[in-house]
Amino acid sequence: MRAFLKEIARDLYTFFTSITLAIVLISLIALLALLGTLIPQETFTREVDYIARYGVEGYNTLKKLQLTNIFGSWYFLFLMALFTLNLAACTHKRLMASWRYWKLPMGFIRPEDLKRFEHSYAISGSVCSDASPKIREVLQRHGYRVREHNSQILAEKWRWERFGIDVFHISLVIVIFGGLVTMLFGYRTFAIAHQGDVLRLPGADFAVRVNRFWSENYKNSERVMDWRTELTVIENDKEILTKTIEVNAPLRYKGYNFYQSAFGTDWQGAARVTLALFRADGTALGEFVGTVDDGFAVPSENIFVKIGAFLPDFALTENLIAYSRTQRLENPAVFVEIYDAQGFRLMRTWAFSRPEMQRFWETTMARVGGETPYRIKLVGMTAPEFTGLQITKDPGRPIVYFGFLFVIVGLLVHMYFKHRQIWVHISENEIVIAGTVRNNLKSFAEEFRRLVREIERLQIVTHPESELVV
Amino acid sequence: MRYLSVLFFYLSTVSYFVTFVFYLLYVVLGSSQRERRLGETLGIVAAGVSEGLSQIAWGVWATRALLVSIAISTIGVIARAIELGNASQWVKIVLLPLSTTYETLTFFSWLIPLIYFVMERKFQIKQVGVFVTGAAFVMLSVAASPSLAPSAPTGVPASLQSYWLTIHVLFMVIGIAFFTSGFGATLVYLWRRYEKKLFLLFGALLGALATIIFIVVPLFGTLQFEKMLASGALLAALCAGFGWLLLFVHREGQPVAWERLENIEEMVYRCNALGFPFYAIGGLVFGGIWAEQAWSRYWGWDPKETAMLVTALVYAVYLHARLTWGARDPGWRGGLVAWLSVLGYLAVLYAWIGINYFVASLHSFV
Repeated sequence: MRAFLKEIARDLYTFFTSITLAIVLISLIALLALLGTLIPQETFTREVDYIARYGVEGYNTLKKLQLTNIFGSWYFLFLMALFTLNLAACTHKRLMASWRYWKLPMGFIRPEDLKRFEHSYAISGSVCSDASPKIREVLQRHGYRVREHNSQILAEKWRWERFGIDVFHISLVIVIFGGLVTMLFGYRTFAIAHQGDVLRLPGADFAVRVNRFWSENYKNSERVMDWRTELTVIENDKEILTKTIEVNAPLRYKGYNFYQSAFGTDWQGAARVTLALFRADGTALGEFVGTVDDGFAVPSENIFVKIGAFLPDFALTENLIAYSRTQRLENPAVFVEIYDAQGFRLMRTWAFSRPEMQRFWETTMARVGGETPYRIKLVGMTAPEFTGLQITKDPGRPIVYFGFLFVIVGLLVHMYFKHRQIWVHISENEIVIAGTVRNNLKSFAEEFRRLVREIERLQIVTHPESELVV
Repeated sequence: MRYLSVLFFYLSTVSYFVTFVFYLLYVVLGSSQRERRLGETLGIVAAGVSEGLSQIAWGVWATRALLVSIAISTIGVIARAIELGNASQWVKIVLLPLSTTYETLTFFSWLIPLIYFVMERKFQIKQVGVFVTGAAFVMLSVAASPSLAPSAPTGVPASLQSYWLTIHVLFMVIGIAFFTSGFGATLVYLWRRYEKKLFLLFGALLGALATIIFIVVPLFGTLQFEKMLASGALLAALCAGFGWLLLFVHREGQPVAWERLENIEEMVYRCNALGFPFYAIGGLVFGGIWAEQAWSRYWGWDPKETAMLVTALVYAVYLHARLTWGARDPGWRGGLVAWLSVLGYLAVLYAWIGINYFVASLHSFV
């Protein structure tokens, strides 16, 4: 049984450490991600926009296949989990190899073998007695660590670079882990705030007051330069600090972050509309003012007019759901319900401010339910400005940053350092110099040539008869 | 002219075109000389080539012209940076001119040839210059089109007012510049490998891409289950077909002398391997840090972010494949690695330009 389990474990290890698996997984992840760029994802797309784009049936298909949320779908997470396992296993395997490499000492190599190296050079002639210390000094000047073994100089530098790519791979796992911590224990919300609002957050022992917010334009221009919100942190009824946040400059306090994220006119949440009311026979009843989610009474008719919704840019999906295409005041419309004194709904309709829309609506859609007792026109609208704040708590942040740091360190080490080793064999009538570099780096040839030139210039060999050994 | 930078960008457009012509002349006329030399060293008798024009050292002149072009566009970029700073009232002291498509294109047309110049000095494979200078010329021509409004710099939008704009985009651009040189080198590599058969392969690749864009994607877009399945099958068939064609060409082709490929393969690898850290660090790390400051999260699967990830992944596959399958293999595997480099550059183009035409993205300003 034990042997059997061991065998399974070994098979699993072999499976997960294969680079072919890595290549297959990366390709699959890339393919799904590509699909995710072509289909707008839930996180930044409203349901109505999907229906407007794909139709109801198409949207349902997409949803069933989890294509509207590819990056949260079970198959993507499964691939990511496999990939993380694969990465961790490969890192483990590589790390073992790197450790063996690190421990592998530089040893004595016979001069005839040294001459067969790709980078190799021999100087013949009678060699001075103080050749060894002079050569050692040259090598040390070039950053090599030098030791001597059986009249052979063994020099090397940057052996540790072998770990660079391991550090990179481990940091990738760390970044993924940090992201997971944020996902599981983090907190994120979007708040629309008006002047004077006090924001309280679950789990936080402080509150934040929105003092004011404003936007600034570039000089002599309509272009917005920045949006700003002034926030004050209040803890135990004491004002702790006040900071003006702007795009790219959030407020961070006790692990919570406040970002300037949106700015605009709060049409859908708090529009204040002016409606003109008529009886079906055309008698004007006057103009009334009300806000969204509230309404006004018309005492002369003994009715209550409820304002259900306001859309700044009215549009319909194919299955006749009304939505606002944009947040600009392009085609404003208000949804109105009229109740009698007993609370029975007499009618409901959309009212528009663009006359052609109003006419179109009254001649088509409004007729479906039969004649209505009243006609309503939208004649005016205002809404308060708001500032949109993204509020997050991000416990994974230090882990992710730590990972980021070592992603950079690992990649740079891997890119710019390669372990170099140089052997110098000194005998009475010959000096053999040979070198290797990990990964067979081309630019090593240049360094090797320079080293050889410097050693030749030491004049430690009399009557030198140099020959190049390829 | 109101803006100095515009003048210099127009000048550099002309200059890059001239450089492009020089490189082209070098490839057409100069390479016959080189082939003859190679033929002599390999002991093959070379056919007689007309003297005269081919006597001129086009390669040297091409490099000189390249230097002049780079100098001109350097002035243009510096001038643009100052103009943009003025227009933005110097909100964040130093901003590289990278806030609009026009600016990124002109910036690219400065940096890509610059990086190529460095690689050319190292590897001395001047055929790559045809692609690089041609690309720079095309970019500048596109940038000069009226729809991109080349003249007036406008204030930088609030979301871009950050030092990370400079750091993040600079890294991405350097990465893409290396990849561009790498792709140019890949083209030369593929040409040396397949010669005239490359037309067949590229024709097939273009056909496959066109089929994907005009048939597979719309078929998938109908969102009817059978048609989605059919589009998936078609995609698999296209991949299999291209793979089969590759294998077929490899099997039928003459074995290529590795000496002719080694240096250029090294250049492809160096360019891609140098570009990758810039691209990955600039995109994943610096992009992540900036996204956290501006949008409150490191990573949000925004289409542009995702496309960048896809590109980085393709190059990661390239680097791993070269490591394991061996680029020094003159057989089909070595060829496959080169095709991965082509795929990587297609992904670069998709993430950089293509994506802007598919979906609205937080990145829609570039």
